[in-house]
Amino acid sequence: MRKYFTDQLIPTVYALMALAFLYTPIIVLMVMGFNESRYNTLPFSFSLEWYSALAKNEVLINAAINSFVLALITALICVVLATMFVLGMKTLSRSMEGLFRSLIMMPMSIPWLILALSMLLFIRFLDLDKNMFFVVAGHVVISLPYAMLSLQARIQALDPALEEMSASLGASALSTFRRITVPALAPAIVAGGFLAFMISFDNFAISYFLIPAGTSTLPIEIQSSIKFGFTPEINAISTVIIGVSLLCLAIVGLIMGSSIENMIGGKKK
Amino acid sequence: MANIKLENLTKRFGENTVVDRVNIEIPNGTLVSILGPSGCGKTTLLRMIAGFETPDEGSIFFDQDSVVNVPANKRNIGMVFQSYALFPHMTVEENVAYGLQQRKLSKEEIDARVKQVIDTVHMKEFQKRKPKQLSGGQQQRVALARALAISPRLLLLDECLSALDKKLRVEMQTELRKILEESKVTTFFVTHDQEEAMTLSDFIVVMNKGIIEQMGTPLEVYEKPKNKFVASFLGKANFFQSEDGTSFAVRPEKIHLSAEEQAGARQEGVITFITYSGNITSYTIECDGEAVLCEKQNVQIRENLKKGQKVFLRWDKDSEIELADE
Ligand SMILES: Nc1ncnc2c1ncn2[C@@H]1O[C@H](COP(=O)(O)OP(=O)(O)OP(=O)(O)O)[C@@H](O)[C@H]1O
Ligand SMILES: [Mg+2]
Repeated sequence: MRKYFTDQLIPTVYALMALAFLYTPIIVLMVMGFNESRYNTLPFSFSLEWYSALAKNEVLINAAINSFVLALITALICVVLATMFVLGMKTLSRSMEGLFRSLIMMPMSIPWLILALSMLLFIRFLDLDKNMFFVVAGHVVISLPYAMLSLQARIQALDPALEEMSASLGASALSTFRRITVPALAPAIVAGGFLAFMISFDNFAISYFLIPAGTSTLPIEIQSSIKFGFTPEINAISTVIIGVSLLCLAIVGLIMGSSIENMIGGKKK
Repeated sequence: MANIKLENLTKRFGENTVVDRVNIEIPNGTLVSILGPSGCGKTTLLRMIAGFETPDEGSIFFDQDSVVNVPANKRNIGMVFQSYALFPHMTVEENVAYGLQQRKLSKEEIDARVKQVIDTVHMKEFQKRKPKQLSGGQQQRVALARALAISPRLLLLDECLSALDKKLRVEMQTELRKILEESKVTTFFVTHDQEEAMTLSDFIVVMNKGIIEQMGTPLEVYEKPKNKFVASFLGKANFFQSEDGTSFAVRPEKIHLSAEEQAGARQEGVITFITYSGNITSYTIECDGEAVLCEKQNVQIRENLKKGQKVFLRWDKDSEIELADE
């Protein structure tokens, strides 16, 4: 009895508490989006009022579109760069490779706020105006490490004999890259792109510091609407974002879990 | 298909000379086994021929053309690695078609050739499968089919049978021999299994520590090994010193045993160990503190020799193999 208590019950209660701590705020946020009350207060009475308000809120919608496009561009650039880097790094000597990798991974360990600030100061220093190009560049810097992480694991598992075999069968370097290397890396490319997308979509600090006046992203817009009075429209848009994220995650999981994993001959099943 | 000539081929990794001035010339259509212990440079030699490693010295000729500066994808060499390296995201058919697609053939030509090669290796019913849905033996066939499909000038097989279990390996040896004889392609076959080398090849090249110890037909290499290494690596051998200090070897099956003293007996000793293995019985005999191995064909069912018994050993002068070294 006592053993049951210490070995199973306590860890289970701990785990449940941790989960509750993680998910209760999110659930409350989602539920309150469907509540009539303007001030997130009880009693709960179901309403889609905030969703219809959201549908008419052009500021929020435009910000969401901006964020989406920004994240998409960031993800595409990250995926291409990360693929090029991991392939290029194979040809470097071991110590050079380590140095190169640390340089790319560094932004993961520097607070985004500091990164954003240094970029802003740099733009000032060059006496340039803020523009979308810098925002994209900033987002790429912080998202690239995540795309790299996913690709590196994959490339280390890639059998070099496959590329040699392709060459011996007459394939050019380009053809080998297209028909052997890319398909083998495909799941990691998709996963890396998705990660980079999430990091960028979510980012507040870099966008806030670097974005030109008059443009905004969803995190910036949410932050400023909190300042000027919080309406459940924010709950509504947050719920939409969560829904879309879960959907993306499910889709990627589905692709990676079966077909891509299958396509490249993973070990599962 | 081509005459292949390796001239003073040398490869170093740092201080380590892995392949040391190798000279081999083989005529069109020959099957050559490269036999040697692990780490002696067999794979490195093949990789130089295939174009994956650049030799530090020496040349490789296909007919009259030196290919040292030709990149791997222009050498037209079929290769089967020990790991097979099948493309995991492609079906059997697609794997076999891959090399043909690089050659800009028409779809009809490719389909016809793929069908033909897949039939040769008896993989028709599996052609829509992915490699991981195949057994080891089936994967091996696909790898071979993929290499043969491009009608290579030269086929390089690197221990491609050693991952298979004994029974399947023997089956595949026979089948491989048949396929290779039909396709008449010049082949280098790397193995560290001496039996496999004997079964499959026209010539055997015995390598050790990067150099060629001996090269010849299986019969030559087995019956007339040049030195102790070759004699003991290829088959079993007993080593003796003659009165003049030179050493010679005698194969276990060439030694006659008898319980009675007989004319011409060369040694006498006591049986210390008997192993019965169906077709043959092996006797270990202690002669002057040296263990001598002797093998008898079990022509009749008879157990006349017992452990602990004193026996006399005899062999023909012809059976003595003079050894060059030591
Ligand atoms: N890329 C490399 N760098 C450094 N040393 C190497 C390299 N490749 C092989 N070697 C060394 O060269 C020697 C010969 O290797 P090789 O793979 O040719 O042997 P092998 O005869 O094929 O052995 P096995 O029967 O085990 O496959 C080994 O000592 C190995 O450690
Ligand atoms: Mg090897």
